[in-house]
Amino acid sequence: MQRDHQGRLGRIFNKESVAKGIFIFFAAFSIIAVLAIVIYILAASIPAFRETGFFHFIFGAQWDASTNTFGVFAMIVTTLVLTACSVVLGGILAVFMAVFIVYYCPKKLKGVFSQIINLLAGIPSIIFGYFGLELVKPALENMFGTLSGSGLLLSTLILSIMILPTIASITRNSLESVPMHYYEGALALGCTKNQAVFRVMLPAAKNGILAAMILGIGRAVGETMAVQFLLGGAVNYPSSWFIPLRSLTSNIVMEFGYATGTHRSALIATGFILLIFILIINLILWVVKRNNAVSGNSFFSRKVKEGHTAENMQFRKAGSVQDVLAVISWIVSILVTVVLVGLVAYVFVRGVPYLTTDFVFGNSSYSNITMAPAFASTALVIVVALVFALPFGIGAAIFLNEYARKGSWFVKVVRLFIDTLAGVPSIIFGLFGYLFFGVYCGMGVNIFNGGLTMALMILPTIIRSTEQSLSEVPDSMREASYALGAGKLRTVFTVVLPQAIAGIITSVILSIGRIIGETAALIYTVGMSAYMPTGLFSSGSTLAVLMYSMISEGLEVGKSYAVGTVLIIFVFLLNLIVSLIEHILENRRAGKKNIFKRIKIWFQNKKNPPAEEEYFNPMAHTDKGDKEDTDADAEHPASSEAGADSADTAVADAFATDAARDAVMEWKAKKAAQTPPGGFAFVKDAPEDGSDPAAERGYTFFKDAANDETGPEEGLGRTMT
Amino acid sequence: MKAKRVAAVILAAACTAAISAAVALSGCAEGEIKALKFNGVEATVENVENGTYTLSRPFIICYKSYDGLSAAAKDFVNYIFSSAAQDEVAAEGYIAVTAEEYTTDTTASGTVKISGSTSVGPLMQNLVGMYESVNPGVRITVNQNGSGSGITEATDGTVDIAMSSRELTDTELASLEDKQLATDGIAIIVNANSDLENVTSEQIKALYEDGTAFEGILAGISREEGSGTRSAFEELIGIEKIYTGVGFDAYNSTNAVISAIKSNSAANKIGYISLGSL
Repeated sequence: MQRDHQGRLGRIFNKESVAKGIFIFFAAFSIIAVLAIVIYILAASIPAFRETGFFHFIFGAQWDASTNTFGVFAMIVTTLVLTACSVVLGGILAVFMAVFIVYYCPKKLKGVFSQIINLLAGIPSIIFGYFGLELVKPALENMFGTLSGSGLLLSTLILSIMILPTIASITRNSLESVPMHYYEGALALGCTKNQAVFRVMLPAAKNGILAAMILGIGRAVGETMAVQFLLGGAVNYPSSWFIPLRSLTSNIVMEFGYATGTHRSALIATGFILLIFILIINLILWVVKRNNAVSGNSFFSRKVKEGHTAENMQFRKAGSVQDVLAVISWIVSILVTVVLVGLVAYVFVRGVPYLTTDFVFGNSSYSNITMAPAFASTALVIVVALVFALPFGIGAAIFLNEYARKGSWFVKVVRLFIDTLAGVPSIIFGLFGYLFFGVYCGMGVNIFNGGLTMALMILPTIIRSTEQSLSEVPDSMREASYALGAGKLRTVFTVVLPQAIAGIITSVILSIGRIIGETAALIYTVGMSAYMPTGLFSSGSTLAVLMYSMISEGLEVGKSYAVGTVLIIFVFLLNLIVSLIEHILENRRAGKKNIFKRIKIWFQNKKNPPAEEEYFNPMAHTDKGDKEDTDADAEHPASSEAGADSADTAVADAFATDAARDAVMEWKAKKAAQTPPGGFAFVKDAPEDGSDPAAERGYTFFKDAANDETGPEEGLGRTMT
Repeated sequence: MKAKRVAAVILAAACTAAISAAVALSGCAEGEIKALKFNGVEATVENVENGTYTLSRPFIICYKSYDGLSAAAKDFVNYIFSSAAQDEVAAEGYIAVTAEEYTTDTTASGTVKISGSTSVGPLMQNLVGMYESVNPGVRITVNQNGSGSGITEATDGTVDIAMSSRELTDTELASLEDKQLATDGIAIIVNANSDLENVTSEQIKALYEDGTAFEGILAGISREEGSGTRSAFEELIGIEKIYTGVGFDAYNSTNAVISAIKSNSAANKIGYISLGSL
């Protein structure tokens, strides 16, 4: 026995437990990361707090670097007011858009609208900022006749467009996971579709919508680059729509470059206050998520009080409000599409004329800045970030999914910290990367530093996505592996992980998209340089940072729009790739052929028509009129029947006695007559008239491997896609 | 389905409208700026040189210590004061300083990091471009994040040389050495549509200190707080703290100010930029 030969150490430190320990460490890394960020930022803010006093810092309204007066209260108020306004506006628009996509959108346009939302989500914030500055601000100045369009109104408009995709996609997911029988029940009780959607389905998804709003709040609080351009620069209370303001984030990014000593510490302290806000928001989100039952939670459901009778309860006139709301959903979605198209068109029109081959691929120097170094820098940063984030992320996901006990407090804490890490604003990551990796570790500002910072930022995405795909691997695979004698480690790496590759690839692509569009975190860690990076320890600009530096230095605005064009194209392509991967996954899971395989098979069929079947196929072709079969039969009728005959012959030859053979052949014939095309049916006796109740109701089960069918076309449509 | 078709048509029409709007609007961002006379004196290089135009400030490069610089950095610093470079300074619309002897140090190679003022930046980039042909072994990176940024970075040691468009303060001089490479004027600019020709120092001071409007000018835009141009302007006009009301926006760079004035077709705002950028 193996145990007799192991010493005591061998029993503790065998391969399994070492691996488990490593995974626990990877999972705990997010806790370490968040704590490190909080502690380091706090430590760097202490000089400012000591100079000004903690409460004076928070509640003082004067911010003046030259006299060392630091008070962030006006900025806190600005951040709160701006967040509230944009979440209200953006949230309402997003909910209407999500309702539209799930319930009212024509099926063929659904993919288009999904791509629209993904594109909106992926466009870097500087593009939004400059769009607001150059297009919307003068429009506001003309419309309202004010001296300066910057301020609360402009920032609210742009910020609500920016958080719309976040809220819309999560709301869409919650709406799609509301059970269908709510809708059917409402219809059965006589509601129109609009009434059912707005009075039953939407309230049922309340929890998810709330979670979406809270995530939107987190995103709005942390937004830096866009609001920097749009708020104006002065420290004021938001007393009107057009007065120049400063938020916590824009304060940091405006002054950090030239701040020294106590001033710099005060800016880091501003970042610390911001971090506290985010932590509070994440705690609220965590509490809301815990009461996750679709039926609502104690905070937000309205209980019918005793004493309400028919006289007291107000009944609305049937349907009219909801019909208007349905129309509003249409209008909102079209409006958002128009804004997106306008934005993309504006960037393209201003940028494409500058997209010369020299600009994209030429040698770059300060007299002639090109994009070639940006591609190289971006690629290097991505590689460094992935090299560090993938092991930690996958390890943590493996721990959370494979090793952790479901309800343990450690898992809950780890998840809380992962969500917190996901919500930390990018400017805080930038500060942390600059202070910790750059100054404290002495690395300086270079690609390696930027890569490490981005690794921290993409870690939550990788963990979540990998965990999701790991949880979708069926337990039967793991059990089969254990049954064959494999240990847990081997099972994870040779059985489970390969199945989850698609989820890992999705998370990698999403992270790449994030890194390409990230500005605030990278300005301080990678720096801005026009030269091709010579190695990991030279500085360089990534694409978005290049655009930011060209715009803020005002050098060549046309060229920066060209960079923006390339950025948008990249984001769009990445989104397409992710959709394609999800499409492949979904079809593989449902057993259908995805679009690539279909194209391949179509070409193959054109080149060589398939030979006759050589394997014993119990589900042999019948003549029962299914669509694919008729096509296949039309092309090669002889082969299918020959196949069936040879199969029968094979069966027939296998029997010992004639009686047995006859009985089996008779049974087979009867079954073949009963079985609907393509597989089993859950009906005991096939109906006499040859109809196919299973196919009619849209269920498909066992797929005939040689004879693929398309899925349920019409019918009630069991899914809402 | 008729409703779907109507919806698709509306969507297509809306998108076309958006695209054409974007195309149209992208063209109309251009305008022109013009420099105003200050106290009756025109803003030209000659007037700055003979002292009649009083808004002038030095362009300065600074570093921790000349001897502490790498060979490449030293060579570049020497090049800045060569006659070729100073001729370029004059050609660009600034006032050169006396040129010094310069011989290329061909053994110098490596990277030099420069950072600082957005007013000095364009000139510095031209000089870097010229230097690259003289001594190709040296790579120079130039970041323009504002004079204050550059000085901080030079003090921290993250860059070799900093550019500043204002005099260094005493605290800064305690840790850095400086050398003036050019003189530049500050021009007060307004949109070309305006009828305004001249501003006096009292008008400017009242505008930027309390927001007092004059002759159709309702607001004055500024640079960011770390800007050398802003500090120089504040010092020359005698303002302690620039007014922060509606319309008194702060921009991060010379060109951003130029863009803002160009698009201010109502010509009710003025701004201040480096004279050489005009």
